[in-house]
Amino acid sequence: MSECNIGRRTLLKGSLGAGILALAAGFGLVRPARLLAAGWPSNAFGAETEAEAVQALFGDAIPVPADAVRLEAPKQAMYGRAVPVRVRADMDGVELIAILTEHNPHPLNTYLRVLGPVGHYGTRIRVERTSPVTAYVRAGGRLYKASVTLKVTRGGYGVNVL
Amino acid sequence: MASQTKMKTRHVGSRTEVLVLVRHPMETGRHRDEKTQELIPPHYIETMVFRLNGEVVAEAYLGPGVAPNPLTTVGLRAAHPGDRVTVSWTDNTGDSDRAETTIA
Repeated sequence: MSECNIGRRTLLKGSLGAGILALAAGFGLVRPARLLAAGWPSNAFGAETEAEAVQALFGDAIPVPADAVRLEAPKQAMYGRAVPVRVRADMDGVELIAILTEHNPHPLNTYLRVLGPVGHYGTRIRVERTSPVTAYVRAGGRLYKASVTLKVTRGGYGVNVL
Repeated sequence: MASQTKMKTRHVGSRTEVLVLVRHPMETGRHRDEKTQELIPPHYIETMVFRLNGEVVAEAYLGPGVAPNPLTTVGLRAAHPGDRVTVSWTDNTGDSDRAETTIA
């Protein structure tokens, strides 16, 4: 098992190409979960503005503010290193729930692709400095959003704080 | 490394909340080692797949903007006691782990 793992790591480190991954999958080296990782959208996560990230995730859809999207987050945080946020999407046909922090070096924190009866998503995010935090929810082909401004005393993204 | 990923469920109103805690550095690639001043390479979870009774119900995509040792939650609308929930994650170095629980 450990030998197999080392082989996979070397493979992944040495080759980021999707073709290589597909080849590896063909040899049974890569389990289904790994194939999903090959689809990790580096363009959305690497985007340097919120508009770019939203474009990468949702295309040209125009988000409308909606009460059915509830973003639960603190109003302020002493440290931005781990801020708990939770998005509740009280509507049918939820497809995607995304959390973005506008003033982070890379605004996209995380998103959830919904494939079953899922109503909320939460995690702990890094927030570099005081910034709007926005939840985007695509449901039934429409894009909704809800936003809060989070005040951060000490940033948690680019600084070397433990 | 069995304890790297912990999962539990709890009932919140009509929903079942799945809580997943992963022991993981979630390095952004922007931090420097305090002694050597070398950049610490990025090391973060990329995907986290949630299954209910074997069916994928959600895929979370994470990145450097998620905190170390992330506590991630997903709310299920139609889960029942006895249902089996599994989570499996993979990071950018190819490491992975999984956890499984039964809804109480």
